[in-house]
Amino acid sequence: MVAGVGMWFDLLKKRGILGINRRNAGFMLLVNPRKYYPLVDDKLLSKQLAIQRGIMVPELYGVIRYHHEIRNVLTIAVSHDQFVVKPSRGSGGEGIVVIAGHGEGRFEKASGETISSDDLMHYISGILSGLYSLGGQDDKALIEYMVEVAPVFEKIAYRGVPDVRVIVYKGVPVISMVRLPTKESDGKANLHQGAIGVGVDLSEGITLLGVHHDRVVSRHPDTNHPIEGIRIPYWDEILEIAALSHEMTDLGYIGVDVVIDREKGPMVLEFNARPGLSIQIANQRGLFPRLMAVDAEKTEELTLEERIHLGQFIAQPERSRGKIERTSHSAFPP
Amino acid sequence: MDIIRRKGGVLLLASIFFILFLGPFTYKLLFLKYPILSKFVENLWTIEVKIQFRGSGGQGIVRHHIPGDDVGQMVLGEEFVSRDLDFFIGKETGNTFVQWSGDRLKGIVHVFYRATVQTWPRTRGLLSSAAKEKDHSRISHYLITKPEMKSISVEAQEFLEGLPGKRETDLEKIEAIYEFLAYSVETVPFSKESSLIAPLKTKKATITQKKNLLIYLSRVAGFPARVVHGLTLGEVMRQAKIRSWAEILIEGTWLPVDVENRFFAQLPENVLILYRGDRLFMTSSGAEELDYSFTIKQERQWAFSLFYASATRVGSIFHEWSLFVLPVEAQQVFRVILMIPLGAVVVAIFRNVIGIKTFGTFMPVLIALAFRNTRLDWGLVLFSGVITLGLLSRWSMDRLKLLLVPRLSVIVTVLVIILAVGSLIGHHAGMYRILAVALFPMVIMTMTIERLSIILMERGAREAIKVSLGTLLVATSGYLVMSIRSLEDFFFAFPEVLFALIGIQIALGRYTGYRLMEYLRFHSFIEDDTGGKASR
Repeated sequence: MVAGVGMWFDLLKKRGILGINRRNAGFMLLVNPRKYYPLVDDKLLSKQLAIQRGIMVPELYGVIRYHHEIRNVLTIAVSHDQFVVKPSRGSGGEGIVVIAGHGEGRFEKASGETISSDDLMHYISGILSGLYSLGGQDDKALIEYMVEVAPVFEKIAYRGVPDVRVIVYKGVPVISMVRLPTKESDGKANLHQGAIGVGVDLSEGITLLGVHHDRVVSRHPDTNHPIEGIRIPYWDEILEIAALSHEMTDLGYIGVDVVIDREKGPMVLEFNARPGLSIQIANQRGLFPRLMAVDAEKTEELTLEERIHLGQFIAQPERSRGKIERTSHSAFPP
Repeated sequence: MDIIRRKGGVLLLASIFFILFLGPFTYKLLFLKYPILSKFVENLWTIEVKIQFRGSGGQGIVRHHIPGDDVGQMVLGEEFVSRDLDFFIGKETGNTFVQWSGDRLKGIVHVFYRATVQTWPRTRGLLSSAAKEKDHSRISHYLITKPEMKSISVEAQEFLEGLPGKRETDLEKIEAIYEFLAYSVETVPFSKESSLIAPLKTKKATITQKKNLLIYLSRVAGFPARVVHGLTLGEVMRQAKIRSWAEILIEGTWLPVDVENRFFAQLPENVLILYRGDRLFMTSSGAEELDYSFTIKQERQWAFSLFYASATRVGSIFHEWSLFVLPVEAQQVFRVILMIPLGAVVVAIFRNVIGIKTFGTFMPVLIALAFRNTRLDWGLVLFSGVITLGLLSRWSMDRLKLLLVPRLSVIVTVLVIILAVGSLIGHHAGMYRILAVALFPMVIMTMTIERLSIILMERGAREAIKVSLGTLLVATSGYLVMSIRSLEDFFFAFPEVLFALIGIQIALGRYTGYRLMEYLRFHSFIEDDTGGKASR
């Protein structure tokens, strides 16, 4: 039994898979100072931070902090046909409701379901009571711009906006995936809710195979459209935003979620101080060797551009485990 | 590299905690001679008397003898259970009895008496050192032979003089009578002879006749003699019967003599003394169709009372500051509290090494603690039942669109009602273990219900069932570990083991290996690698 388990673990190790214990104790706890967590856990704070740094974010229409302000959502609705309501301290995409249109006191969700204004206000009240927040504390509700799907994703996203998740270690983007909403995930881009994770080649920004509920897929289950080989627009900008988020948040191990708006281009949706490990399945690659390769470099001496190049270099499968030859600061090949 | 350096530091700290444990532990072990495990108590028995009768509509009284501390036996605990009757315990001519009584009794009335008793073999040495008769006023009572037997006492006297064997000491005299009755008189199932001394000539007697004759002959020979009633103890015995033997006073010591099972001046450990004298075991009034039975079970348990006795024998600061000096109730509390860190380690292993998802971090430990009162089977049933009912109430409230805190308050209130009704049902159905539901951690159950319903709505039933089963699995394992009796004794005697636990917890905190469940999670690309599964 123990020998069998040991063999399993050897298989995981051989593939360079990062386990949750090693992620926490070996990386996250070492490079993510606790005091910076509130900045990323509170979407309102991280949005403000991003704006300061000149990074695009979905426009904030309004914040509801107290129960007596809940009716303000109706005022906001007058000037905006579409909007998203989300808890400021929510986790894992929970508690987000997308209003795709409204009229005569009825609101239409992205899923097609309509709800009354009372339902919407009760929903917001739940957000304020901390129903969706980490640890159940009181929360704020953010009402913001509804991102429009970029044309390239139209056929492979079911009633929702795909986002690009990049994991950044010590400022180096190390792995990435696109998360495609499905019918099952109700338009949400979270893997555990049934969204598809599609690996992305870091140097070109071209999609690889996808994973749906830990099963490898090459087509979108709802549209049957191939998900492989799609060139993600604004790829260089996305990597730049990702690498920049390290300085912005002071976190050494962070997941950055970027959405691509049809007109406004890439914008940061949120930061995640505890990004999940399924991204490894989506890429069919273990993360551990890449993190070790980053640890071998003096990343604090590198420029933003060098860090991006480093990430793209170590992500190349045939070289990922090799020692990086360095003659000068920017010696690794572009 | 800094990771390894940090990890090394942590492991060093963990070892320091381990040494903090080993220091006092080895000292106690080597110099104070603490036993590692408390001694296994052999000959621990549960004796249950089940009484049943039909009430006459008026007052009903049942009185029966119960075992007391005696030579070679000690009553460690007693339970008196009856729904309809009150009871009191009394003493009478050296025997202990319990009297149950109630008014306006109708229908079948049940009474249970349960005692946990430890026994030892009673040899002559033990008997003469412990069983000295101090009450001389009562001795003459045991010499009385009934007046109508005067005529036969001469015959008996003559018979005694004609007995073979050396009869110089008192013991030898009695032994001669015993030898004759036990070996020279044939035991027959029934006898037509009504005369007490007839067997002296016929050499045939029933068990009862033999016993009576033994007592009679002893009294004629001038030795106080009395009858003793008791039970033979066996591994599992239902419908055990009371049997009796004689006790004869020689040189100030009551020696047991059993011609039936051929014990002279000794009693084995599998005999329990119930009472002495000619009375019936049970008497009653106003109780129709009275019936009773004995159930005997051998208990396999570690009794820590003996351990305590051995631990406090030697004077030492370790004894003065040991948990054994606390009042018994506080000791009981601490026996439970000391196990909580162990439960926490179990949770840590399940979550961080195996990778089982649970509600909250220490919810499983709290559930495991509740299981201690309900036992596992009922605990699982009750807990699932209460959670299900709570979920139903949570669901029915969903359309009311209540705010979070008032909604949680409603769930707490509904839970209290469920628990109260459950306890009442348990009481009326006579299922007393159900009463322990009141000990479930209510606020935590409320949070469980709330989280469970959110998981159900947002992640579906599969995830909800997965987390629920995970929680119950970890709680069950925690319960099983925390209820190991010898571990409990060990923790109580060596509380310094908590330092070792801190060491283990710290080491677990730096465990960066894979979780068992991660093998399943990343299964897909391991298969892909070995070329087993087509990916396109």
